[in-house]
Amino acid sequence: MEKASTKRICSTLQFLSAGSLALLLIGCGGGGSGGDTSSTGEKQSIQPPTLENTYYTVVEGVQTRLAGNLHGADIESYALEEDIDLTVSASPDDTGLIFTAPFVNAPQLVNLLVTFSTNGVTYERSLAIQIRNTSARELEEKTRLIMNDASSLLSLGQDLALYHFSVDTAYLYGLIPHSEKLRMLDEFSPENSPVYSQLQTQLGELRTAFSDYEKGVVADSALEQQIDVIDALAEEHGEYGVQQLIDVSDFSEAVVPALTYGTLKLSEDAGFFSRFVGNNDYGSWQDGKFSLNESYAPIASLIRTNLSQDIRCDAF
Amino acid sequence: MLFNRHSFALVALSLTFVASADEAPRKLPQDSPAEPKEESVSLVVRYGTDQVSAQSVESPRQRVEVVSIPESDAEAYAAFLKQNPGVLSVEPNYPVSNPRMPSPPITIAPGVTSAQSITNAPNDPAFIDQYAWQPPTQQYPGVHDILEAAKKSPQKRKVRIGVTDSGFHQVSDLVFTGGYNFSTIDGPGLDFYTPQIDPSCTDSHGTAVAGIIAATTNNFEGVAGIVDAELYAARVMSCGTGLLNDLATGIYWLSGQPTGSAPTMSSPVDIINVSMGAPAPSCPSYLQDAIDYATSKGVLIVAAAGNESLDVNNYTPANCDKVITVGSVGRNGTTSNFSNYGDGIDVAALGELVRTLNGDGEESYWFGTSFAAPNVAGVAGILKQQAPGLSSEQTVVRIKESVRYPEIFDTGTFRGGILDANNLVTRFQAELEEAHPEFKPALAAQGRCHRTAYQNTSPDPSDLAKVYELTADGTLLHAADAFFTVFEREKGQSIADAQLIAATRESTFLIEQVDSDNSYVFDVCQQNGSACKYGKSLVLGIERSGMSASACDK
Repeated sequence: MEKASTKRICSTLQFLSAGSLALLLIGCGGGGSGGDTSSTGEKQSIQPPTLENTYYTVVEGVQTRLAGNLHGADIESYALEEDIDLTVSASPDDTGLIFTAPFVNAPQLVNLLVTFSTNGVTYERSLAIQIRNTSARELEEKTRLIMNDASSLLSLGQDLALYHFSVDTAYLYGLIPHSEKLRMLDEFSPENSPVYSQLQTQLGELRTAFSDYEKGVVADSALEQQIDVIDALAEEHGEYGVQQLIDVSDFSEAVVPALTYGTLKLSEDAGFFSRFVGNNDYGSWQDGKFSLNESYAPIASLIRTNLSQDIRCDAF
Repeated sequence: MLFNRHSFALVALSLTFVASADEAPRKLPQDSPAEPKEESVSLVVRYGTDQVSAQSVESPRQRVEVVSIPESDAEAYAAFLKQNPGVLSVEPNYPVSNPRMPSPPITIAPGVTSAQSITNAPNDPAFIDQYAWQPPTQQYPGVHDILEAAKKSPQKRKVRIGVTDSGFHQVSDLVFTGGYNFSTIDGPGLDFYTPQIDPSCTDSHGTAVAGIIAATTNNFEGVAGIVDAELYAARVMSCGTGLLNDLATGIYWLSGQPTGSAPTMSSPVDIINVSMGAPAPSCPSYLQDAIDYATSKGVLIVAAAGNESLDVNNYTPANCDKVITVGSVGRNGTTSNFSNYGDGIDVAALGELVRTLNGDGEESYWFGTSFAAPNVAGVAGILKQQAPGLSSEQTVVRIKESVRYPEIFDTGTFRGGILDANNLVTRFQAELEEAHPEFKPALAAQGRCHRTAYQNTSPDPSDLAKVYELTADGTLLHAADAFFTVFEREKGQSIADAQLIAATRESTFLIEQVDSDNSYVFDVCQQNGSACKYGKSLVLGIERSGMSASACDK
């Protein structure tokens, strides 16, 4: 009995190529998932085939053994809902199935129904197999970093923290009254960046695209394109923050060197957007960590150099 | 200039001389049987400079002299003086007296008239009949709820109250911290108790007035005084009568101004009670000058409205600016028929059956605005205990804003309502609570969690640790001339001497160099630190607990 949702059914030739036993194709399936049927109706002492899991994650283009004990059962047929090329065969030593995943351009979840038969009895086993798009691992990681840092990127959190510090320092030293401090703080409004809305939209779309990608609906190339757009927008958005810092540089540069070098980009090493990390004007990499130059050390807590560092003051 | 023939008639005296402020106490002048002398009038001459005329007989204060002139020459001499461009005014030195008492005092044993018991009340035997202390009821809305107000008072300090009067006595239930006799009739001198000066005088008006304000409370004796006070007696009349300029001198003295031979007060009193006066169409400028000086020093002047049943605008000093003028009501809330009346009445207080001390220390019932005024002075003292820096203007405003107008009260007779001590104190304390600002080390602010960054970049991190940030409610600045102010007071320094260290219209601002050995007070004042709304009573706590390591610094 063939399932209505089944998209693709195996061929006898494929079975033959995969196993040492001649297998019978009995309607390519039949019976309930995991159910056992006997063609004679007589009770026999037969051990059904078993697999250790019902969910597996496999790497694209790689042959993987799905561990179990087939107890001599043959694969009678297998069926999958997805339109994807893959092969399934019994392990020669009877210890499971051999699954060969194709190359994919997005993670693919395959719902596989395998029908075994032994001594005239058929058994069905349902498996969910996630095929990883391993070749896009870095792209996926970058996408995740961008999504995680989206809020900070939009709000220009790093420049905002430095801007607040500069203005507040001026207030603490009596250079401006509190009302002027508030007015100046209001001046830093990333929403006024020319690309804010565009960037916000792109970040939202990236999140949707990545969700679709994980479902296998969107290809990695589409993700890559969106990230390229976001990178460009981020750089432009960062210029707004730099301009704001230039406006208060009289205050900030009284206590620390210039804070306006560099362009805003994602540091994949650090895991977030930054003008500082990786920029030699501010510091250098040492033992896998970005260390600020001595002149910036006094405000080290204000310059984010690692992913676990939170420079916001509303965090506690 | 208010000087006219009628005024001369008013001030015609049977005095043959006017005493010099520098002279020792002297006995009352003896009438000479030999030859009748022409009556003299006493004039007060104010100068724009320090010059004085050849006729001056005393100069207790700069730019004022009192001249005694035969009545027939007075008008011409006044005209002569006024030709001098340096003369600002020539005005009568009005004869002044305690308001005529509508009924003589009644002396009876304490407690016999009352059936009401009061819990947590002072143990002074006559307290139960001190009706002004009781809460208002439908039957007796004319009382002032003083006991409740007194319970709410922090009692942290003694207020300093001056009484200008005569008839002061040494009685065990009433302690005067100091006093002086300013009467130019039988003074001046250090002796101010009546028996010391004139044993034949039976006047004990000043004792009765002072007893209401500050008789010793909870001593199982006599009556309860409204407020714990240092009392100062300025004897400005001789046995109930005197001259208005002597009152002015007494006010100057109580306000801390040198006045000649009297030892100058170390600091001004908080409140002066003036249960005396003179019919006068307006406040003489020399008296107004004295009142202005007093109020500039933060002194509140409480004046009895007088008992002549006339418009209070014709009775001085009740008609002077910057005083709080007190009319009389009975317990039942009706205006007393003897009380002067009119728009000039700022507040009404109990002036009938007021239980206080007489010259023998006995608890007696007194009648008149003279005994209504000290109720207000005492209640103002309760307020000033909490808010020592409260300006007289602010005190008057607060008293007037807290009055009651019971149904029976005739607002057509008095403008001001009935004194409500409890409401006064309760409202003030609620305002204080609302006005209390946030005051903490600037580096303790959550927005400055990168404390080390501030310290590392500071030229002097230790100075930065002493910077405090104050955040006040911006809506407190109603008036255009109002400023948020902070005063610094060193250990042992009085609040009056506290130094103004900040005045701003910013609702958040910084105070540098905060020293934990000093105390700091917040208020809403004028830019120069005067006219403070909360009387410099909002003490700012200096806490360093907020300086622990912040999350950002970890």
